[in-house]
Amino acid sequence: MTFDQFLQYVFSGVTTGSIYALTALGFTLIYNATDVINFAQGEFVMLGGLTAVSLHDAGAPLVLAALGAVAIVAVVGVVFQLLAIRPLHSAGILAQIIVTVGASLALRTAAMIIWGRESLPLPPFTGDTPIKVSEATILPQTLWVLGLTLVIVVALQVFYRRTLTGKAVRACSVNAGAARLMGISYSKVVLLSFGMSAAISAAGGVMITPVSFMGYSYGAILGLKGFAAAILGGLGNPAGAVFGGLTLGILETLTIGALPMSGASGYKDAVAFLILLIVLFVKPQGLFGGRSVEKV
Amino acid sequence: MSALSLSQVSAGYGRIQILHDVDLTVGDGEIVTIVGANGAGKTTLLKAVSGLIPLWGGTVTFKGSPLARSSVEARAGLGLVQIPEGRQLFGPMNVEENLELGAYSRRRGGRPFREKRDEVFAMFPRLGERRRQQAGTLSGGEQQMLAIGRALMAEPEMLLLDEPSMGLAPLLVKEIFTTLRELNSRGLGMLLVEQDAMIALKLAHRGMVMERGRVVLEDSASALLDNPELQAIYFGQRGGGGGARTETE
Repeated sequence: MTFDQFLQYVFSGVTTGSIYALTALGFTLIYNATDVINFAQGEFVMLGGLTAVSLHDAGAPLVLAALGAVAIVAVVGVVFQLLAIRPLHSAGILAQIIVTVGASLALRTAAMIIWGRESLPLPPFTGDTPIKVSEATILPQTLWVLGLTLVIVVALQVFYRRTLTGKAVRACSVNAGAARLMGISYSKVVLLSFGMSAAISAAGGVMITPVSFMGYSYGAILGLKGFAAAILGGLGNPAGAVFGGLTLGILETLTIGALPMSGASGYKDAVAFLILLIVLFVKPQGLFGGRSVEKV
Repeated sequence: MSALSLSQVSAGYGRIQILHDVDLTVGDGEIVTIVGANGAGKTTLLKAVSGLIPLWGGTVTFKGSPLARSSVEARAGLGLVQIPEGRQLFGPMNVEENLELGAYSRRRGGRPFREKRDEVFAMFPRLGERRRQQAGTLSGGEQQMLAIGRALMAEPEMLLLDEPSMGLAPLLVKEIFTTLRELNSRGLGMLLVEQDAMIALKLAHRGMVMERGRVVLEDSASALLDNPELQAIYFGQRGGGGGARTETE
């Protein structure tokens, strides 16, 4: 592999890696607030992409279609919490996790009925003239994906570190009982977390659709990759989720590039899970292991 | 008029009833302590008052209005603030963030945060020195100070204290209780649950002894301190009673 090829694979890797990262962030937000692993997370990505396609087809400018899709999926996330998760509050975490599996099937089927089985395109945000970097080329959409992912990650950090609401969300993830004694409404924090989680993952879906299209069934594999990325970085750690997503994306494309045989891309998904298995064997708590330990 | 009053309160977990018809009042600016052995229902009683567990029967009234319909979250805003057992700080967050969250219920219409924060730092200078330090890395005594400071940020009219002496060296316990006395002298009422009956009764105006979820004795604190029966049961075990600190009643 020449250096230019290597560069080309890395560009492609960070693009998909960013989407994994945003999906992983979605997992992290819900997990931190509720200890629930939301197996419908990938469907939020899919819904984001397909909703943007529909809004754009209906005549909305691309920016509005993108923002509208994110907002609509955020509402879907909140409604999902209210209708599917909240009634199971007393049934325990496991029941809530199982219902997310069911919800993911329901959302996928609904998407198939609404949008059909075809993969649908969205135009790139700003044209598709490749930009030359050395001998490799980079698509403008890749820059959008990277830039917007960065903006989302930074905005999320500012929200968690600098705003009272963000601190209240963190307090709930540390000790929900004590947070309630301070006057923080845990149920509102959970709703907010579902809404934000769905919005962030939907944004990933909107951004990747111009690169690789979006179909009703794409959510399953994107969700699994996002989950793998979240585990890789250490479940519950937002920075780890982003790192895990980008690492996974780059390693996937590099492996395809390095494998000598044709049709190596078929092994792409296997690579992700092989990496995940190795990490879990060596460091079960992920690379940036879980939440910090509290001295009692 | 009493600020806090419980009438015929019963509560429990699952099917197991812990509290049986508890009556109790705490006046404005009064300190009432509940003493009793492990499993007597002391912590359960505080949880019933703060709303962390539902009442099975009876009523809890604060400042004249019944609390039955106010959620846990709403009670802090009313001025009824609990300092839970084991401090329950937000460990990975720093000292100042913990104080900020303590003021959450007063985020609208409360006194300015900085003013209150500086008062807490004036009261506990060590917290001021460690304002950027993670709460979980503080020493036990500092953690208890932060737990008290965090509660004060909510501008309480009555504190519900659950075992403030737990796990602390005797000297620190003394320091904490001196602070509590000072806060009380400014008019802050307290309902204090404490295993160390001696130090609790020395601070309190009135005391109640609980056994198996019932109030079995109620008197002025000084009378209880002189009660020979209590002396035999509770004060004799001082220093030896520290072994069972994991109660979850």
